[in-house]
Amino acid sequence: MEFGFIIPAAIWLAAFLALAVVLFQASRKAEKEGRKSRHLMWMAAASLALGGAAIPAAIQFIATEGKMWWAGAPLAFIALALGFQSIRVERPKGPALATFREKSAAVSVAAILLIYGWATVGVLQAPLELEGAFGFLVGTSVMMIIVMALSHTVLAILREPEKQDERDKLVGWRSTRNGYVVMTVGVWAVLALVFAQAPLGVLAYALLGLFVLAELVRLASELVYYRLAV
Amino acid sequence: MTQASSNRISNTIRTLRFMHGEMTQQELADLVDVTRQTVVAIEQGRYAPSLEIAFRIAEVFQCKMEEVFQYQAPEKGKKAKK
Repeated sequence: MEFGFIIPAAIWLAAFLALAVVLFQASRKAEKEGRKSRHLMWMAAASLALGGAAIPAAIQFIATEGKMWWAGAPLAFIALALGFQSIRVERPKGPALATFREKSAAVSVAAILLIYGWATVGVLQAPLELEGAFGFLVGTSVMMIIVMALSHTVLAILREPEKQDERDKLVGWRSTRNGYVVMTVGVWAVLALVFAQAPLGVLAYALLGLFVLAELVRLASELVYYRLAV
Repeated sequence: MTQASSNRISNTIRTLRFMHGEMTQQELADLVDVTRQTVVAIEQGRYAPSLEIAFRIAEVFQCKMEEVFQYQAPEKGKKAKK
């Protein structure tokens, strides 16, 4: 296995990190002086993302002998999100139609329906073998993380999240209870599949489906409690 | 007066806000330390606040809690809705 690329990769990483620090400082200075720093924000986030992606990309490059270098993408997206969040942007201050938590629940429901709905259609059309099922589980989960990180970052940029109050907590508790009921029933259903000696691939899909369903019930409950009564 | 159909607790917050210099929901929310949406839910009777928040609201309007919140006991033989 070749390790010759480590030194140039480290230099590349260090250069990007240094660039990110310089850009952050420049953007903060611009902000203090009342100048808009959106272009700096973009550059800082992008440099952070490229730098952050280098580590997992290098690890994957070594572990898979040149394949799967794209594994740095999730970290790149997280770094992008951090880049955006660490720089303040002017946000409107008037009354909001919904709280950050309510919007977050709505966006999460949409993301789950979109990603897992699309994945379910794919699986139903062409069921995967066990090896494929593992890749499918990891792939959809990573996609969810990326979409959630980006959408919540955008939400936070558009309007400052409010402090959680007692109603938010009550809504959260009751919604989690509803999700937990689904999870408990689902675990028994999956156990029944185990005793029925269902194939491992089916069990994997069933487990993922169960988590998704429980999360959907929790988030949908939040939306209902926020809009109707708690 | 707004009454919550579920918990038989009604309130006069909207009137009190009007009488206190047309205080906005956001201003009340800031004074009580909750979100504006929680004030909206309380006003519409969709949420019965904790005792602490109820006392804080009464304190903002400088009146007794009974002037802000009213409780209507269920009729005998009828169970209060959950």
